[in-house]
Amino acid sequence: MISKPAKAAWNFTYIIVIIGIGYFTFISSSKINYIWRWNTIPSYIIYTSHDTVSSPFNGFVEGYKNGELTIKSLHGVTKKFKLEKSAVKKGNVVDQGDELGYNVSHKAGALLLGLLTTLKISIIAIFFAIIIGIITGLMRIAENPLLKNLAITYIELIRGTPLLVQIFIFYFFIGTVFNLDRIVSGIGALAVFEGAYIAEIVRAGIQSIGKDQTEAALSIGMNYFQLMRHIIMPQAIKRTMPAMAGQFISLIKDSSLVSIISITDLTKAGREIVSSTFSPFEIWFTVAAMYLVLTYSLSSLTHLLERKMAKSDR
Amino acid sequence: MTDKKYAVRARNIYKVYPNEIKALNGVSLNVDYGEVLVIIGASGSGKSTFLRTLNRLEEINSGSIEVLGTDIFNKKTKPTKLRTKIGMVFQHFNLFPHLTVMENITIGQIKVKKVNKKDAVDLATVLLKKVGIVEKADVYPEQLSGGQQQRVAIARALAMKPQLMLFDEATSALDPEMIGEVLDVMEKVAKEGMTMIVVTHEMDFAKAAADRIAFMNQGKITEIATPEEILANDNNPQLKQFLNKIH
Ligand SMILES: Nc1ncnc2c1ncn2[C@@H]1O[C@H](COP(=O)(O)OP(=O)(O)OP(=O)(O)O)[C@@H](O)[C@H]1O
Ligand SMILES: [Mg+2]
Repeated sequence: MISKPAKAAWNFTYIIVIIGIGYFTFISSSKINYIWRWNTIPSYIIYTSHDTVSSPFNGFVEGYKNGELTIKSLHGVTKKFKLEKSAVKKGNVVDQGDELGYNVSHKAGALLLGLLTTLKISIIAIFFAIIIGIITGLMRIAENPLLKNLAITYIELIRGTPLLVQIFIFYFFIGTVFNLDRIVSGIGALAVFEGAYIAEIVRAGIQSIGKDQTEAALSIGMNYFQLMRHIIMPQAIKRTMPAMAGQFISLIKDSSLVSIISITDLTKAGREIVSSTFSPFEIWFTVAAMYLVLTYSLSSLTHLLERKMAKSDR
Repeated sequence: MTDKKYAVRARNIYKVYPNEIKALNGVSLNVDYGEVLVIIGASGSGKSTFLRTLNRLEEINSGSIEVLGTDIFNKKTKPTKLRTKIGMVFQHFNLFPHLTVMENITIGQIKVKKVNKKDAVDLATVLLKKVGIVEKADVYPEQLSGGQQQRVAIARALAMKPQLMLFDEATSALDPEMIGEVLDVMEKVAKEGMTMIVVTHEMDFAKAAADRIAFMNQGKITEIATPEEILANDNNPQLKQFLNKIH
């Protein structure tokens, strides 16, 4: 056991070390004459756009009141516009196409759009990976040699080859044969890849539930499906939660590889911005932080769930 | 030939485990409806294996078994259907840890027998009263003592309204002070006329509740008689040795 004051001292040291690392990074970058432009970064996440409004006809301005501009055409037709900022004044003559003013709106920047794509790909891939994982996990422990060997073949093939290669195979071969959209190929490759790992988690989880439970369930007349659905799976899922969460986090990170087949996820968005600006450091640090937001939220969520499930047992 | 009906009619059953262990070497046995049969025998003599063949948790190599009038190894006999009519109580209780006591007792009725929830809860409440722990309906098994867990397990089995109950050393994992409460429940069930096959070493229970005692030795039933006759038996050396050891 470490005493309380000693703990505080170590925590303080930790902060010092972190600051030191930050300072070292700063010093190293100033040695290579790198100009940091952090101020440009927020606009890649959210930017404000000025949507200009132009006059639909020739006429003159009647007035601007409470954010509403009124203009009257030469034929006596009046028209009102909601404008946050007016570029004209009462009495001004306006021609068709002249700028009357603009409205301000907030739009998602390229990085945020990329993050949303990454999130979408990950959620759909996790969904299918769970289905694939449960089915092949059950096949893996089946007595039937056909089911069992099919599952083993799948798991070994997938776990023995790199994800990047699988994405290429999915995209160039399967995608071409079945005429798949690139995003479908990407999600498919991810789901099939992570499914093999989830299958092993499912297998281990089921096998960790003793034979006793199976016999008790069978002895009251349950069939295989009822046994799995009501007795084994609920216990196995709870026991495998930490491993599952780890796998989902891996999936989110692995999803960055689909950028290679031109899916504009967070990583691809980062690459595109880097190639058009001179701020690779800021962009990649920001991209990393955005991945961290996803993975950290997920792990916090599972901690919360775990604690809740533990409570339901008390 | 008689046309007397038996609850269990086992003919010459043999069972060899995949590891070549011969667990059953020609067991034949008739159990009457309403009879309480106690099986005793040394460790490894095949008592559990025999019980488990009766509800097909274990398959056999040869022989035939009729339970409650059906040939259990007939292709047309569904094990799941058969098992709803046979209650089983295990040495280590095997309650479902993720379900409350009430859910443990109702899940079979609701999911297997498709009884509606209210009726299932009503029956479970009656059974919990019978085994004396109605106040624990909403707790999880891990909060119960071993004796309480085993009583819940008995209630779980009874909830399927079985016609035959199998007990495999239901008290041997319990602390001594809890054995009595479980045996009391078992005697109560016996008195209500349930057909029971009970593997146990509790000779007091056997004397009080058993109609007959069967002694198993090396995969065979070598003696079967009333409790008095078994205890007085003088010409079976293995039985004598066994009885001396457990006393
Ligand atoms: N699943 C199994 N696989 C292989 N051998 C087994 C299995 N179950 C039991 N056996 C063996 O079969 C024989 C009979 O075992 P069984 O469990 O039926 O005996 P038992 O009379 O119930 O003993 P105990 O009093 O220890 O419970 C033993 O030699 C045992 O090791
Ligand atoms: Mg046994």
